[in-house]
Amino acid sequence: MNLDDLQRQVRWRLVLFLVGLSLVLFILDSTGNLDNTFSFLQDPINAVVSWTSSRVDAFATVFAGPRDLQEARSELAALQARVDELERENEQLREIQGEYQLLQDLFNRNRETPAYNRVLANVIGRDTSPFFRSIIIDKGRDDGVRVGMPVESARGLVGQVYRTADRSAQVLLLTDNLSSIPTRLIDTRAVGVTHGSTLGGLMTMDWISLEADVAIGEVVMTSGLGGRFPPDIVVGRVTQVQKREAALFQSATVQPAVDFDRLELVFVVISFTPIDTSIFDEPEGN
Amino acid sequence: MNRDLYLALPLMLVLVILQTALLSRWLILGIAPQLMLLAVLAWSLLRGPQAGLLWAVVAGLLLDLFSAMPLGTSALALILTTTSLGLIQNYLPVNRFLIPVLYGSFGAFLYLFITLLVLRLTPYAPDWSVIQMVPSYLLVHATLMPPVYWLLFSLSRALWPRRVTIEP
Repeated sequence: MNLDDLQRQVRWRLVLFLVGLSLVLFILDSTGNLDNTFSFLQDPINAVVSWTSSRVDAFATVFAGPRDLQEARSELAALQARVDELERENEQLREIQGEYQLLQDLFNRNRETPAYNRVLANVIGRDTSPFFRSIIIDKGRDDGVRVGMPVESARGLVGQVYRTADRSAQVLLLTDNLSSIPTRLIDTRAVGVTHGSTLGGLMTMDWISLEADVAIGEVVMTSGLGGRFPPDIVVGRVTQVQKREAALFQSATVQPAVDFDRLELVFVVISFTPIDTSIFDEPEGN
Repeated sequence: MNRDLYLALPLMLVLVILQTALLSRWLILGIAPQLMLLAVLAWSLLRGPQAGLLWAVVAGLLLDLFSAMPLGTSALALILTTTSLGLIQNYLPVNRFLIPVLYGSFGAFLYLFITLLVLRLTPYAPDWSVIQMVPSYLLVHATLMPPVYWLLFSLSRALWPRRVTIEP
């Protein structure tokens, strides 16, 4: 046997060995007998693989970052625009809801006293003077509005028409210094006169009988006496009671029911049935 | 003088609409800024008492049309205010900031005081508790006077450019 033959023989034996080993490993792995061996071999290698992979990922992210960031920014801008649009829509819906509520309140108020004839008016301006509290409405003589007519809102009494033009009118508010309204306390039924002040804000109810037990929070309404205002329209609530010794009457500070700074819609009461005071008239012939 | 009147009418119409529809709702320290008062005072300072008087009459009448005050009250108060301030105007130094502020606050005080006096003579007399609003009233109007003054100063320069004579 020469050397070539020997080498050829060794080579074939090696091939056979390796094929046999492969088959053995194949059979062993298929039967689950190499798991521990695999763990022993794989773990350290996997650690190296993991480290290498993370380095590669970091390297890849550096180049992929700007593209993703740009996309994220674009998406953010689009979402922000959508949010802005939805917020605007939300505001509009809130405005509509507010108007609806206002009209609903006015409608309910109108329904409570169907005998009164009313004209709905928008508040279009306010007094230019610091000494007076009045508003300007967009209904005037052409709409049946006349000087002296009471004006109310869904929350309560607003004031009285003070001046009219053909298509607008000026309304003196309850809180004005010149305003004076006959009123009644709802619980004690005591009557008095409620008037405003120059600085506005709170009102004072005077000429309340000393016998009346006026409570804080008691509602003040129009009494209807005098015929200028319909009865039972809410004016406000008592916030303070002033009782002085040796005084003939007591007085109360009244918080108006209406928020005059936020007034948008009002009713002008064109006609109403004043309370019957004919019992005070002298009989004919005297 | 005619130009003052032609300018006063449209400008005061715009201002009274702003005053009635907008400014009365936006209170500063509880005070609604009286833009027309400031405009009259500023114009008086810029163009002299006579021009200021014209503006005072127009502004006053328009103010009273949209107020519960008797017609003529604001006009009277503004006329007396501009006349009183006009007496000292010639003695004031030329200063485009401090003088308008002082003019504005003093003019606002005079206007308020004269209006109160006039109303006290009528059935529409406000009570004396109104004195409480005086400090806020003066502060608000003194603060707002410089921008109003400068706007009208620009307008005045645009309409009446200064003529320079160069002598050889």
